[in-house]
Amino acid sequence: MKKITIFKICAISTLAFFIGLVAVLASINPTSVLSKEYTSSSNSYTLSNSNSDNYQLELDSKSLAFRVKEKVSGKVVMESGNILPDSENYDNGLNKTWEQFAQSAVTVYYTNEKVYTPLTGFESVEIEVEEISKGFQARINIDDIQLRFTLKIELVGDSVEVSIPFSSINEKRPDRNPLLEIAVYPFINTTKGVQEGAYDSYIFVPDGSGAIIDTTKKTSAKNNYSARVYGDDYGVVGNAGIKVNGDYRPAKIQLYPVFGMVSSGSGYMGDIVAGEEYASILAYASGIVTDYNFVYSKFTYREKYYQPIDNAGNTVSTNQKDMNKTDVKVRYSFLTGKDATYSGMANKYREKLQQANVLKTAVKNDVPIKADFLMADSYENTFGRTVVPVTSATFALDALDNLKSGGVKALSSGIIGYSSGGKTGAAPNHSKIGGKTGTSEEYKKLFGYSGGSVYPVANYTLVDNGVSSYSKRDLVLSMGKEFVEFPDYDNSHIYFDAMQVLNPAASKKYLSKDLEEFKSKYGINGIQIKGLDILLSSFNDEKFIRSESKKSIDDMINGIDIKLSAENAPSYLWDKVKEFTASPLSGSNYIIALESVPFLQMVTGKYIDHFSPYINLDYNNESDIVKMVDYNVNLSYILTEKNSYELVMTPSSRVFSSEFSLWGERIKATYARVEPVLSKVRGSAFIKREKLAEGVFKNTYENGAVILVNYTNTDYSLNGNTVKALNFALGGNNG
Amino acid sequence: MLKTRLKNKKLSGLKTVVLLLLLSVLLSVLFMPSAPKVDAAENVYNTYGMGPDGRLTRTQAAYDPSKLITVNANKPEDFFVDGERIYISDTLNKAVKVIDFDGRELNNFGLKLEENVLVSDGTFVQPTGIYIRENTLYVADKLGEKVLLMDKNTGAVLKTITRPTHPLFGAQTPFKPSKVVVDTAKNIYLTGEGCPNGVIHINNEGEFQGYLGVNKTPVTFMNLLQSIFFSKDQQSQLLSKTPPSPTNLALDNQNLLYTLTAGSSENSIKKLNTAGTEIRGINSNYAWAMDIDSSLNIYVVESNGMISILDANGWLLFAFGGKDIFDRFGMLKSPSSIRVLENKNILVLDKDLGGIMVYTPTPFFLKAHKATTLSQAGYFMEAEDLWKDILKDNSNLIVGYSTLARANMKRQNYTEALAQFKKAEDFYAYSDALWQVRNEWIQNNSLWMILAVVGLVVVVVALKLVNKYTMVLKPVTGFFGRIKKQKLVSQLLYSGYFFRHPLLAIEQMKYKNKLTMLPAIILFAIYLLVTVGSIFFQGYLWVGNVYNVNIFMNVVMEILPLLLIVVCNYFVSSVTDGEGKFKHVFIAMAYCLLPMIVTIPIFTILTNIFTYNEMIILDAIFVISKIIWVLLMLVSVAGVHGYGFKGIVKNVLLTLFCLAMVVLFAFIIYILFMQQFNFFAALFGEAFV
Repeated sequence: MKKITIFKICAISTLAFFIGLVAVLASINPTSVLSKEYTSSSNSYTLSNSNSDNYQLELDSKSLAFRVKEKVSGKVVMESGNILPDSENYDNGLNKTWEQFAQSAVTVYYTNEKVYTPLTGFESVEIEVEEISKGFQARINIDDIQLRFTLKIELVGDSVEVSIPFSSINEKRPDRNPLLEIAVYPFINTTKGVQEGAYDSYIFVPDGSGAIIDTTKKTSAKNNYSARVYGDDYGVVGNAGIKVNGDYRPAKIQLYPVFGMVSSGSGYMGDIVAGEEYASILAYASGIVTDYNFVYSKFTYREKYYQPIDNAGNTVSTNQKDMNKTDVKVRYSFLTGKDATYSGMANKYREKLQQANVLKTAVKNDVPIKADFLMADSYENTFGRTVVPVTSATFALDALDNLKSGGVKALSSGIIGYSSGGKTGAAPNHSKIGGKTGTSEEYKKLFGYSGGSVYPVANYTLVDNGVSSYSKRDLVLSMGKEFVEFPDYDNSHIYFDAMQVLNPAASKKYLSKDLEEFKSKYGINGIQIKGLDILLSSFNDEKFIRSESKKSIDDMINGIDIKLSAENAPSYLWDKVKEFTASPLSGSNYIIALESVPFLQMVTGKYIDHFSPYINLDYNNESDIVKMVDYNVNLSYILTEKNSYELVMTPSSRVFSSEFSLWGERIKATYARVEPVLSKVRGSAFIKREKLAEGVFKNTYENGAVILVNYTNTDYSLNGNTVKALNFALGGNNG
Repeated sequence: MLKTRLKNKKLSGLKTVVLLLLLSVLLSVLFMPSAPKVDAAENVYNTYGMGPDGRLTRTQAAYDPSKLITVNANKPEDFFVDGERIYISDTLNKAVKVIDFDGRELNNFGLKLEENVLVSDGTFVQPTGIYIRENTLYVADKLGEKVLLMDKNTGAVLKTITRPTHPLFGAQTPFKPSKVVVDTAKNIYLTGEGCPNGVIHINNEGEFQGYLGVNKTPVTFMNLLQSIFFSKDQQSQLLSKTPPSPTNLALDNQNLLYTLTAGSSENSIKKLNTAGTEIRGINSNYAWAMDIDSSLNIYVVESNGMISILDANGWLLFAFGGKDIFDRFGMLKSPSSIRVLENKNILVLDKDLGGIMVYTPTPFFLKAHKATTLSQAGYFMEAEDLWKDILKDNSNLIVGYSTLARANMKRQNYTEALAQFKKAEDFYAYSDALWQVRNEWIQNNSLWMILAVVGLVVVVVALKLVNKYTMVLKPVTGFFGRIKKQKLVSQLLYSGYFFRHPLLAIEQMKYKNKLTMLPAIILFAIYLLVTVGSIFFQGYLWVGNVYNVNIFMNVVMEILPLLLIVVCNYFVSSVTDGEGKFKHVFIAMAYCLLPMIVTIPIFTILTNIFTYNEMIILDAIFVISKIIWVLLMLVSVAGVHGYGFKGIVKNVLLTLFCLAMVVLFAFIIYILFMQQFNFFAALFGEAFV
C-alpha cells in the first residue's frame, strides 16, 4: 500500500515543481539544466551567423536561452527565457525551482534509485555550444546522473526548430538514474499576470477541436492543462491508469500536436515534428501555481506503469525499462500582427501540412450529409442472443433515395450492424453480411448505391468482450501483462461494458481480410472505420511500442485503396482520410480552457469533409445547428426503419431517436437551411474567425466568402447585414 | 446513483394541489427569459432518464452548465436567491455575503474592518443555514446555537432565537440549528444536529411548537438479536439507537415541508403533510440537498455531484452531472446546497469549487417539464401531444407512454392503452386497462362462450348416451383403457390415489412394491418443467417483462432443495429408527408434488387473465397449494417411517437441522475452493501470461 501512495505522487509529477517539497517525496526529480554560475542577469547572447531573410537568432551559451529578432526593426519576436531575476524592487514571483525551470532550456526528469533527495539544480553540468549551419548545437553533459545529450536550436525560415536527436542521448547509469522525461523551453514568450487590456491574448491547446485559455481574465481553474498527444498509452500504463468515471464523457483526445500563445499581436505556434507520440502538452495560466502564462511540450522517454500483483487488482508502479527510442523536434513559428491569433496558427499549420504533402486535394462536390443506418443489434436472452432487426437493406436504399429526391445534393452513408448478429459482437470479423436485415444481394445493391457513397462501418480496434471470433493473441497486452480493457462509451448504461483492444498486428490482419471480401463480394468503394484514435503500445510476443503501433496503423491505412471515412482521425492519418466523422465540436471543457475554437476544422476543412456527431442523439438545439455552420461541419444522423424503442434492451439503446419517418423531413429542412451557406465555402480554406461580440462570430474563407454566426438570443447587425438570433447568414464580400 | 421507487405509484390527492398551480406554472414556462447560453459546447456529463426494466437510459441534455459564479467564501454551506441577489452563508469566515449573479460582492454581514482586514464581529459563530421570507433574513448558526432574524437589506439583527426552554423540547436535546426554512405564516422549521426527534418547529413568535417528521430507528436483524439476548447492562453499553436526524429541509409553495436525511438510503427524502406526518418517501443513497420548484418537482443534488430531478410523485425525470476529478466544467466537487429559480435555472453551491454553478435548462427539458406538469395535474389529453413530441426525440423515456396510455383510456382505446402501459411499466394502470379489455372481451363474447359451454355439454351427454346403446366409441375408450393399463401410466395416475389416501398408498408402496423409481423421476421432471416453464408464461402483472432468465439457476434452485430434503430426511430417519428406505422416501416426496404440478399451470394461466383486483385469489391458490404440499409431505414422512406425531416433530426438526448443516458445510467448501482456485489462477497468470 505504501508503494502505491508513493506512486500516486509520482503520477502527478508533471506538477512536481509545483511545490519544491513535492519533489522530496516523489521519485522523479525535475531538474533544470543550468550551470551553477548562471545568473539570469548575464545576458550574454551570441549572434548566430545563420540568419534567415528576415530574422536573426541569438543564444545565451550558459542558459541556452534563445531569442529571435526581426532584422529590420530589431524587435524581439520570440524569447525563451524572459523571466527577470528578483531584485530589490522586483519580485518575479517564482521560487528557486520554478525560476530554474523557467530559465532553463530543457528540464530533465529522472529517478533517483531509492533515495529521494531534492535536487534543485545539478551540481555539475557542462554545456558546450557550437555553431552549426543554421544555428547552434549544445552538447549537454550532466555529470550528476551521467547523462549526455545534444540540443539543437536552428532558425529555419520563419521558425525556430529545437531538437534532441535520440542518437545523441547517452545514459551511463540507466539502472540508477534512468531518464524519464525532458521538458523543452517551457517559458517561450511567457507573459506575467492577467493580461488585462490586451487583445487576442490567449494560449491555444489542441484539446478536441481546439481550445483557448483566455489570459485576459483571471481563471477560475485550479489545475493546469496537461494531456498526451494522441491520448494516453494504456498499453504501457495498464488498466489502472484508465481515467474513467461513469458520470463523465471521456476527455477529447489531442489529435494533432500543436500549441501556441499569442498576446496583442505577437506570439508563436509550436508544432511537434518528431516524437509527438511521446509528447504531452502542458499549459498554465496566471494564477495556477505561478503568475505566468505559458505552454510547452514534454517528452516521455520512460513511463511509469502499473504492475498488477494479484487478482484483487492491487498494483505496484514500476518504471518502463527500455527507453522510448525517439527523436524530438519542436518547431516554433513566429506570429506577428494579424496572424497572431488562432486563425493565424491554423493557417500556418495548414501551410506546413500542405508543404509536407499531407493535405493535397480540396473537396469538390456538393455539401454532403451523412445518413448512417443502424441495421440490427442484439441482447442477451435465456437461450443466447435475441437479434433485433431495425432496418432492412432495401429500406435503407429507399430512404437514401427519398433524401436525394427531397433536395439533399450529396449523401454519404455508413451502414452499422449489417452482420447477421447485428452490431454487438460483430467486430472484428465484419464481412459476414446479411441475416434478418437483408440478403447479400440486397446489401450488394445498397453498397453499390449510385446516388451517393455507402460504406460498411467497421471497428478494428475495439471488440466486444467475450466474442469468440478473435483470439487472446490478438489483444493488446500491457507492459504489466494484463489485457487492456476500454470502457464502451457508446453503451447507454451507467457502468460501461468493457471492450477489449486489438493490437496493431491483429487490426491489420482483420482489416485486410475484410477488405478483400468486401471488395470482391460487395464491390464497396469506401469504408468507414472507427477506433483509429486509439494508439497503444502492445507487449505480446510481437512487440509494438507506441511509435511502432503508429507506423503499423499508418501502414494499415495506406493499404486501403478505397475511400476512407474515419472517426476522430489523428493527424498522422490525415493524408488518407477523406471523411472525418464525429468531428469534435468543442474541447473537453476543462475549466482552464473552456472556450473551444474550430482549429481542427480550419486546418483540414478544405481537404477533408467533416461530419458532426449524430445530431438526432445529442445535438438537438437550434444553437447546435448554428455551431455546425460556424465550424463548417456537415450534418450527420443515425437512422433506423423501425422506432428506436425496439432497441431499448440492446447495447444500442443509446440510439434513442432514429426512426426515419420521424427524421426524414427534419433532415431535409435542416439541410435546406444549411446548404446555401455552406456551399459558398465548399473547398475553400477557413482562414479567419473573429469574435464580433460575445456569441457572434465572423468567419472568413479563402475565396472571400464570409459567414456570420450568432449564438445569442438577439439579432446582430454589421454593415447592413443582419444575422438573426440563433442563426447564421452569408456576410458578403464586404462583410 | 439515485434509485427512486415510489410507495404509491398512482397519481393521488396531490392532483388538486397541482391543478391550482397549473396556470401560473404554464405562464412562467411560456414567458421564460431566454437562457444566457452563448456557445453550444458539448456537455462533459451524460444525462439519464428512466428507461425500461428499472434501468437508466441516456437522453439529450436536460441542463447545460452555463456559468460558474465565483464566490469569495470559505466552505460556504448554504445560499438563498432573492431576486437579483444571492445570499451566501460564508460558514468558516463567520459571515453572510450578498453577491450578484456576476459574483460581485454587494454587501456582507457579520464582518468588521480591523487593521484593513475583515474579521468576524461576533454576530455569527458558524452560519450554516440561510433563508429569506419577505424582508427577513433567517440565519441558522450551528455552533452559535441560535437562529438570527435580520433585516435582509441592512443586516440589522431583529431577533435572536436561542435554545427553547419548553419541557417538550427535551432536557438533553442539543440545539444546533443547521438548516432553516420559513413558511408563509413565518413558522420556522429547523434541522438540528444531534436532534433525534425530527424537525424543530418554532412559530413566528419564536416559541417552540413541537417536532415534525421524526425518522424511524432502523431495525436490523442484529438489533433484534441484541434486544432478545443481551442483558440490560449489555444493551446499555451499545450505542444508543437514536434515529438519524434530518440534515436538510425544503419547503414548497403549498407550505409543505420536505426533509432530507443524508446517509440513510431508505426514505431519505420525505414529504410531510401539514400535520408533520410522512405522505411520500423517496429512497436515495447520496442525497445531500434539495429544492422544490413551483410544479412541486424535486431537485436533488447528491454528495457525489449528481443532480436528479424527480416529479411530484418521486419518479425520476432526469439525472445528470457527477463528481469532478479532472477539473472539467459542469461537474461538482463538494456540493452543499441547491436552489431552483422560477425560470428553472438550477444553482448549486459547491464548497470546493469555490462558487455557484449555474445550469440552464435545454428546450428539451422545458418541454418535458411542461408535459410532466400537465400529466401530474391529470390533463392527459392536453399533455398527450407534448409527450408524443418528446418521445419522437427520445423513445426510451418510458414515463411518457404512461400519459399516452391514460389519454387512450379516456378515449376508451383500452387495447392501445394496455400496450402503452406495458411500455411505461405502470403496473397499477396496466391492471386497470386489463380489466377494461377483459370486460370488453367478455361482453363481446359472453354469448358465444355460453353457447360453446352448453354445446359442449350437449355433445358430451349425447355421445355418452349414444355410446351406451351403440358402442360406437368403443375403439376410442378401448384405446384410453389400454393406455391406462400400461404400467408406467397407471403408476403415474396412481398419484391421484396417493393424494387422496397417502398413508394407504405408502403401505402399497412399501409392502406391495406398487410404486417404482421411474414414475417418481418423471413426476420430478414434470414438476421442474412446470415451475421453470411458468416463468415464461406468467402474466405481465405478476412478473413484469422477462428478458433474460437463467434457466440453469432456476432448475438448480428448484431441484436442489427437494433432493436435499430427501437425502437429509433419509439420513436422519435411518439413525432415528425410521423404517423407510431411501427409495421410499424419494418416491413418496415425488408423489407429494402432485398438488403443485396441478396448481402451477392453472395459476400461470390465471396470472394472464386476472388483474390486481383478483390477485388475492391467486395468492390464495398459491398459499393453499403450498400448505397442502407440506401437509402431504408430513403425512408421507410419517407413513414411510412409521412415525407417530412425536416422531414426526422430532424427525422434521432433525431434518431441518441437517439441512442447515449441509448448507453451511457446502458454503465453507465453496469458500475454500474459491481460494484455491484464485491461488492457482494467479499462479498460472504469473507463469504463463
